[in-house]
Amino acid sequence: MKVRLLWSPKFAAVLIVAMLALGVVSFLVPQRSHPELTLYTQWAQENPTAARVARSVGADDVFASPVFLGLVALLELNLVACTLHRVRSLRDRVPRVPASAPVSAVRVDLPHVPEHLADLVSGRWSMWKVRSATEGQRRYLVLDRLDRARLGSLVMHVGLMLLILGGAVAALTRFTGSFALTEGQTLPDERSSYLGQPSEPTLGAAYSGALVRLDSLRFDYDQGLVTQVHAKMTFTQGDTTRSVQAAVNEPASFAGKSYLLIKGGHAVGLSVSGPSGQLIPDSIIRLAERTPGGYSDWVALPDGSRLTIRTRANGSSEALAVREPLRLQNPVVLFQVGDTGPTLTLRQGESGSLGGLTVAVSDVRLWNDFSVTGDRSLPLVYLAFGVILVGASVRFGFGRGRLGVLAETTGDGAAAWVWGSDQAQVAKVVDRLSALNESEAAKS
Amino acid sequence: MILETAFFWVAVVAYAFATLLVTAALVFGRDWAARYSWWLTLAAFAAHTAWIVVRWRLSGHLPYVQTYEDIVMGTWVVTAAYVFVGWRWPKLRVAGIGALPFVLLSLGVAATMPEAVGPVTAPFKSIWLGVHVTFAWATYAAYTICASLGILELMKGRPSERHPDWLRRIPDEDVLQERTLKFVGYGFLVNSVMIASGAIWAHDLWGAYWSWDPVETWSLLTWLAYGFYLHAYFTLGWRKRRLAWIAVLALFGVLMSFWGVQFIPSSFHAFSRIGTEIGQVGRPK
Repeated sequence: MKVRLLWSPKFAAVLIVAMLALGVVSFLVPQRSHPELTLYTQWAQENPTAARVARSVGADDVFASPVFLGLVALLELNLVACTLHRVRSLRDRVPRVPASAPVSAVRVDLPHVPEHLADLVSGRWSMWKVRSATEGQRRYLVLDRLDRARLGSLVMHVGLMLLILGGAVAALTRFTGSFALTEGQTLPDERSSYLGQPSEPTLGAAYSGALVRLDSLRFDYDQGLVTQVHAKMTFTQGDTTRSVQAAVNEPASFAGKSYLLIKGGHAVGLSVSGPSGQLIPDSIIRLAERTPGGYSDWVALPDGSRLTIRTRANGSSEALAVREPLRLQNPVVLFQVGDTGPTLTLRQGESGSLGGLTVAVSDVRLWNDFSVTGDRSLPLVYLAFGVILVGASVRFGFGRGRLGVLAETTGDGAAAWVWGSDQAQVAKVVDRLSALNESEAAKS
Repeated sequence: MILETAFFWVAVVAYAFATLLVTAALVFGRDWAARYSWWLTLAAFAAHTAWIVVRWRLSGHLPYVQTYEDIVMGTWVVTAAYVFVGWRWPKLRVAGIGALPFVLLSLGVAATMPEAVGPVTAPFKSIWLGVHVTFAWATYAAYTICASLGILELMKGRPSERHPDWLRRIPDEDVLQERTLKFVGYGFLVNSVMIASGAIWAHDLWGAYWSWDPVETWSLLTWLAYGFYLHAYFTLGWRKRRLAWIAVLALFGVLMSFWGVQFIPSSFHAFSRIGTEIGQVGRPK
C-alpha cells in the first residue's frame, strides 16, 4: 500500500462504502445486540448452519466485529493523515485552473489575455491571499479573504480529531454498571453493589465508595403511560452529603458518575420461616416480571421448590388489569408454593401460614434499576462537537470569501470571467479589467 | 380526529396526483401537467400543514413522538424544502420527480401505522431531542432535494440531442451542480448538529453518547458519504455526473437511517417502542 493512499479521500470513500456494505449485512442477519434477543435466538435455532457461519465471521454482531472496527480505525487514520497533509499542502499551494467559470460569473471581453493577472489587485487587497496559476493561454487568479473557507474546514477537521481522541479517552476511562435500589435503601459505590459484571475503566479508580441512597420514587402518568419518573437521591462521601433530584433524561451525578433511571417495579419486604427456623431472612425481593395484574417473581426455598410472589391492586386477589402498574392502590401480595400449591394473601404488615411456612410482609415499595456510567471523555467530546459545529458553520454558513478570475483566449480575442461571493469586490475587479481594456484600446 | 384523518388523506391524494402529473410532464413533455402538478403540490402541502396544526391542537405538543407523527412531520419538511426550491427557481419544479414520490411513499408507510394522539412519554422529554428531531428533518429535506437535483443533473448530462423539450428548459448542469452543492453544504451542517444533539440526548437518557447502534452507525456513514461529496468537489475536483451520482446514491444512507431501522428493527433507538412502558424507558443491556 502506498503511503500516499493513507491521506487520499478516495481511500476514505472505499472505506465508507465498505462500512455501508457491512451496515447492509446488519439488516439481513439478525444481530445479537438487538434489544429483543429472542429475534436472534429464534433465527439461530431455525438456521443453525447460517447462525454458525454468521458467528464465525462476526456477521451477527457487525458493529462490534473486528472487520468493522478495523475499518473505523483505518478511517480515523485516514482522517488524521488527510488533515495533516492538507495543512502542509495548503501553504503556498498552486491553485488548479478550473475547466470553466461558474455560470454566474461576469464576463469582460479583452483584446488579449493579460500577462500578469495578479497586477489587477496589487496593493489593494491586503486582507486577501492572492494566488495565481497558468495553463497554456489560460490564466487563473484566486483570492481568498482570510481564507475563511479553509480555516473553517481545518477547524472542523481538528474537531473530528478531538472527537476521536475523546473516543479513545472514553475507551480507557469509561465505567458502566447497574444497580437496583428500593425506596429507603442505601448502597455503597463498590463492586459488590452492582448487578452482574460492571465494565471497569482501564485507567483510574472504578469505585468511589460513596453511599447512594434512594429516598423516594414517583411516577407521573398520562393516559396510562409513564410521562416522567422522579427520584430523590442522597449521596454521601466523607463529610459531604448532597441531595439530588433525578428524572429520565436528567440523571443524578456524583463523584464522576451519572445515575440514570432505567426501569422500575415493586419490591416486597419479606421474611419466610419454616419449622427449622428462618428460610429467607428479612429481605427485599424485587418483583421483576411484569404481568397484566401487577408484578411477579419467585424465590427458591431450601427444598428446591419455588415460592411465587405476586402483587395485586386494590386489595383484590384477582388478576385485575392495572392501567398504571406502578401506582398500585392498597396493594396485596399473593404467595403460592409451586404452581399448584396453596395460596396466601397478605397486606403490608401482615403475616400468615402457607403449607408449613410462616410468611411475613413488612411493606411493599418501589424499586428502580439505575444505569451507572462514568466517562471522563465527556468534556472533550462536547468540546469536539462545538469545534466541529463552529468549523462547519464557518465553512458553509458564511460563504467562501473567495474571488476568482479566469482569463482565456476566445475565437475573436480573449475574455475574462470574474466571480465571487462579494459582489462589490467582483465589481471592483471588473472595473479594473474594463480599465485595462480601455487603455489597451487607446494604445492600439 | 375525523378532521385530522381527512387532511391526511386529502394530502395523500393530492400528492399522488401531483406525482402522476410531474411524471407525465417529464415523460410526455406536457407543460400543463407540470403546471397542475405544482398547484396540486401546493394544495397537498396546505392539507399537510393543516394536519400538523390539528394534530398539535389535539395532542398539545408538536407531533414528533410516534413513528406515524415522525413520518408525517418529516415528509412535511421535505415538501417545504421542495416548495422553497420551486418558488425560488421555478424552472426546477420538475425536481418534484425525486421529492414527490418519496413523500408519497413515506406517507403510504405512515398510513399503515396510524396512532391516536398520546402524551409525551418520559424519554422524549428533552430539549436535546427537540433539537435533534428538528435538525434531522432539515437534514432529511436537504438531502432529498440534493438527490432530486442530482437526478435532473444526470438527465441533463445525457447528449443534448436526446433531451426532450422540458429538459432543455431546466438550467444547465453547472447551475444544477452549484445548487446541489449548496444543499449538500447546508445538509452537512444541519446533519452535524443533528448527530451532536442526538449524542447529548443519548448520553442523558442511556448514559452513552455513542453506542454503534445501527441508527447511529447509518447516520454517521451518511454524514461521511456527504462529507465525501464535499471532498470530491473541493479536493478531488470532481464535477457533474460523478458528483451527481454521489448525491443520488448517498440518499440510500438517509433512507436507512430514517426508515430502514423502523422496518427491520435492530436498533436500540426502536423509536416506536421507546417509553411505551417503564420497562423500556432505558436501553436494554
